[in-house]
Amino acid sequence: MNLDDVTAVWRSKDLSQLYGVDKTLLDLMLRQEQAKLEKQRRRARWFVSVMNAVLLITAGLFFAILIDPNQPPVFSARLVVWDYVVGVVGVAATLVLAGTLFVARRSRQAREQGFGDSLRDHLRRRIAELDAEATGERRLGLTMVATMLICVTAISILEGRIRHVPVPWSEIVWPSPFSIVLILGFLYLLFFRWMPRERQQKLSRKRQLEALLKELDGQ
Amino acid sequence: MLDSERDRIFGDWLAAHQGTLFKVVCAYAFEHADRQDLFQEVAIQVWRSVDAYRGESSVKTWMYRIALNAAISWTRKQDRHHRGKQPLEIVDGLLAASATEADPRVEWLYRQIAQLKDVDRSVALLMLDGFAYKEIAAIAGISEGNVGVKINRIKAALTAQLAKETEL
Repeated sequence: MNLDDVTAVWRSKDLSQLYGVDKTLLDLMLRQEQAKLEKQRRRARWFVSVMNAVLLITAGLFFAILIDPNQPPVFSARLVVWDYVVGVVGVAATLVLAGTLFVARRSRQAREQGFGDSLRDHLRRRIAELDAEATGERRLGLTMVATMLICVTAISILEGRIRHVPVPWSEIVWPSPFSIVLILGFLYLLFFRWMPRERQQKLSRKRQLEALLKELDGQ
Repeated sequence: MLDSERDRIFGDWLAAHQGTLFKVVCAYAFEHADRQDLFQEVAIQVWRSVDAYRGESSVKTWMYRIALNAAISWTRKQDRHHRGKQPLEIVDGLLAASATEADPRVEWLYRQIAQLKDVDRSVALLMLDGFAYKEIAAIAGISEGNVGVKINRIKAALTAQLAKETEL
């Protein structure tokens, strides 16, 4: 007997005859895995919502301090119109972010309600979801990143301005060029590399599902 | 991906290629409980990977890749587990062994494969199943030249061992 003979035996043997899979246990295991994934997604949604709430409360609080009539005169005297503008922009940005998240959630719910429980309906629902994600995700991502950046910047500026007495605008410490380059690099990767790749994958997945739907319709 | 679609594709894949998964499981785990555990891990990874499959390679190649990655990760995790760091969940009874006896020549091959390092074990499995160098390189994540070197060494070791045991 040589290696070729052993290899030929190996290829001719199907281990399926030696082992079997308990379909019920496998299904149970996969359902547990699905529940775990759902939990992770819920956590991610909670994280974004909580972050949005923290930004909204912080921006609102800082703006309230700015317009508080009981502040000492030395504080109010050094405030300029730009402080109020920054405060309003910060609060508005968080409201836009909250509104965007709310609208995205409502439109997803509305989309899901339009379909039944059959496999065809599941496929149609998923195709509609992929379509909406591929076309609207860039807009949603842009809105989220822009509003968060604006809000965090506004909060940082206001924090500097309202600490003890307002710090003059000329003395505010701005981010270093290195951090700005890092942020811009991240934004470039996000919008021109990762999101287009994700979009392509979604469109390719959509085409596969459309083919599957066609195959089902033909049965 | 929606559950029903993923389950349907996974069910089809499992029915068609479970022999491939069993081969990988048997090459990386040697006791029944370990095989149960590894099969669970491999099945979860394949199920998760359904969504990522783009049809750029055959389903068999894809499943081999997922199963081997899962098996190598499992082996490393298992080492940590043996050092008491990471608990494992085992679904008992998921993988049932039948009363049929395994072929002694196949058993011999598994014993030889078991003595190889993680990546070499992957290469040996793929070589035995007749994959081309290019495919092995893509699945194992090494260069084609390296695949050639490894396969030559594995073949030489197997031939030598076979000759030694035949003499005895």
